[in-house]
Amino acid sequence: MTSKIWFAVLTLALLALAPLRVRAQAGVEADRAYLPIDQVIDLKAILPEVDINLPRYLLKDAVSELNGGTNDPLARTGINLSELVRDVKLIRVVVIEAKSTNRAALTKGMASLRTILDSKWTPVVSVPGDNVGIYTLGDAKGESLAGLAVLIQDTNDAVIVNIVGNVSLGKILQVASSFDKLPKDFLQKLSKVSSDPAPKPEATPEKTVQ
Amino acid sequence: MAGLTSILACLIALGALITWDDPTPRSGSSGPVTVVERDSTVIVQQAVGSFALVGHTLKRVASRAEGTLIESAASPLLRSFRNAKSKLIDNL
Repeated sequence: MTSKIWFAVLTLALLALAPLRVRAQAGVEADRAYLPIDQVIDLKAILPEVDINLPRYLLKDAVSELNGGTNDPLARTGINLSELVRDVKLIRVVVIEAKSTNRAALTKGMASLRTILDSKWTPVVSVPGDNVGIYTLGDAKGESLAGLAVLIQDTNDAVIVNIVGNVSLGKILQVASSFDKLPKDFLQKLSKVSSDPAPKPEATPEKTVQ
Repeated sequence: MAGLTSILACLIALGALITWDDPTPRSGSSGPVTVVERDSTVIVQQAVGSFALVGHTLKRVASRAEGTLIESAASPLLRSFRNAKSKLIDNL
């Protein structure tokens, strides 16, 4: 009888906490296109050379004024960054330098990621001999892109890219083609865009007191 | 005894539910670009660079160009990421 009561308590506790679990997974990590890089590679033990992690809220804020307008330093390159990231939920780029100390763990982690991608994603282009793979994932309807992943590994570096959300492959290629057209003072112009105050409304003439 | 086992099971279940990974996307990074990552200038630079990296790789793989991919296509971009902090300071 006692055990039945305890089982009932346990069941109630689990049911009560279930919504918390659902809420915890509701973020981008619950997305099908999210690649669990941190779970398969211990990035605290294997420090990456580059670890770019741009969730939507950061992207949205940063590119809000880069819409091809007159203040947009990317306007002449034909890159409309606001449009490009409109449906992007996360950009993650991890670059790890392969060393004798981390090579085994890194190779194992990359193999795990490749297994995940091979089982659920669609390989677009791959060069197995060079350990290169580019994968895409379609949305539930199969009509648009839900995610993009790139794995590259050679003797010196491992590169992992994961874009969660819908992004145009054609426009990504356009960015690559236009990358050398970026103005030399690109960073200065970007900085100016982000620091310029919003235009003030026209000042109304002050009434003179007589 | 059965009660104790049930209590333990309950605690383990609670622990499993409470200690899941933090669902908040990490905006920080453990790489050399950590310091300036929250700057919108750097965010844009990283976003454009990330897309360019993917685009270059796509082009290279598609055309099966000679040379290793990282060395020939992505290396300049990776260098720019690695030097993001110093580049930013130099350019501002």
